[in-house]
Amino acid sequence: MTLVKELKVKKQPKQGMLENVLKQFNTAADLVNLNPNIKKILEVTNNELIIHFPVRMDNGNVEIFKGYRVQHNNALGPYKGGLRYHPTIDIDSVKALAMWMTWKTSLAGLPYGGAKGGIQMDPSKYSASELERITRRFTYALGENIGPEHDIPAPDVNTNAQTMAWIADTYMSTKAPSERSKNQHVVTGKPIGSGGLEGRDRATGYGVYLSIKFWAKNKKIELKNKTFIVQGFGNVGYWAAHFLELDGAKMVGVQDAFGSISNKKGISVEQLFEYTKANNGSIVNYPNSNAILKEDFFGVDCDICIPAALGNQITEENAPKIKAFLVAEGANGPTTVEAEKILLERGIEVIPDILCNSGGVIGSYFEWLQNRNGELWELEEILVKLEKKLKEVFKKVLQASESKGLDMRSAAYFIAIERIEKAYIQRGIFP
Amino acid sequence: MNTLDRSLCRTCRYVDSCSLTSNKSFIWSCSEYELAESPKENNQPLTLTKEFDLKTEERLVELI
Repeated sequence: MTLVKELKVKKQPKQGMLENVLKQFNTAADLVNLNPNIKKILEVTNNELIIHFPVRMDNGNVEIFKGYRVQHNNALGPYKGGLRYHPTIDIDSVKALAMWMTWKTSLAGLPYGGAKGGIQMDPSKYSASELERITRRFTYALGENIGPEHDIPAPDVNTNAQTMAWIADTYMSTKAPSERSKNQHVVTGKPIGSGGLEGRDRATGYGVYLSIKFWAKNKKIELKNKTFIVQGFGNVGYWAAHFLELDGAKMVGVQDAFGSISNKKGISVEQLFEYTKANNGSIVNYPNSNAILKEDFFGVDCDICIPAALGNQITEENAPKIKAFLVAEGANGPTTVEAEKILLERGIEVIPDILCNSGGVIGSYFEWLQNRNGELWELEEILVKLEKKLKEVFKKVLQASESKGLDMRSAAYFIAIERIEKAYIQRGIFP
Repeated sequence: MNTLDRSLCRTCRYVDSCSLTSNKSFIWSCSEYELAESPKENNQPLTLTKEFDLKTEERLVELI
């Protein structure tokens, strides 16, 4: 094959994450009857940054890394979104995730836009000091493309509080000494000793619990003695179950990466959590439970189903088997379009991910505010603020859902996009 | 073919035994995700790496 011919060979189409997000947006835009000029703005990203930067490895060699930061939209405030370190990230996936952040922050009523970024690499191949240098050099390379009032990264896949502390320290070090401390809120998700928020670990799970609580209250249903199953016993699943149990609800089924267990008499959330800590994180063989087949998990008899692990879990195959009257999406995209149709037809309500798991980004907003105002908030105060904020959002979604005859997901997208549209209409387009 | 080219699962320690999903091709978010191997044991300070030769290193840096 000649060089010209080789160059002409088109690449295989990429995975449809961006296409899916755009499709979702188009459906929602039609629903809102979105102004066509504003639609043009929202279907593209504002800025896409690809940075190649060198870092010295422990053995003295230099490696070149590829970093991304995509800023989708900032009509409502500074860009906000995570940074992930993974070999599979590319510009398309980062664009899709940035767009998703715009809807999420808008729905949550936060003064933020949407962004996402990361570095294309496998962190398991690098030492801690190499990861530190990679993070710091990436931060330096990003320069003024991030900033506490411009674009605020947060932890995501393979990044954590330590990564955020390195970013904050590097960014602050590039400022004049007198300016340093007022730039601490350049990232959120920092360690508690370095400006991080108390209770940030439970913010998403607490938000899932609150969403269920608000929904139940609206339906005049008591959570006491209600049964629930949870898929994923990580940060989101565990904390959601923890708070539900405090309210008198009973966990009757759990599924994690290792297996599935159930007990219709109830499984103690705290005891299971302690068990997993001593059992390499696995729930398997927990004494007061029966092992069940993974295919049977969503069919476990319960009132509330909480998919809090990963996407595409409730499908057209298992949706008819679900016995719960409510599905609360703790994970991102756990219900397929076809499955949701089946659930709604069966009278099962779905609290959509964009609303149900927004406790995390609201927690980030609190951390940002705390740093910005030079304050230190206490855990109780934070949980109260989170409840107040989420209650407002939930109420809006419920109202839109009832007044417009929409399901909760469509209502949530409706509110998110309408809020951005309103900002553009009020401000106009420069010049 | 069920490839992991574009999935988080590619670097997840539970990829072979995970009971959450059989389709591990396009996972971009998962609460159970854990990186396959812990980072190499090396917590040296950032100042000078082992066997750092200032002269050689400086030259290399200039070349970049």
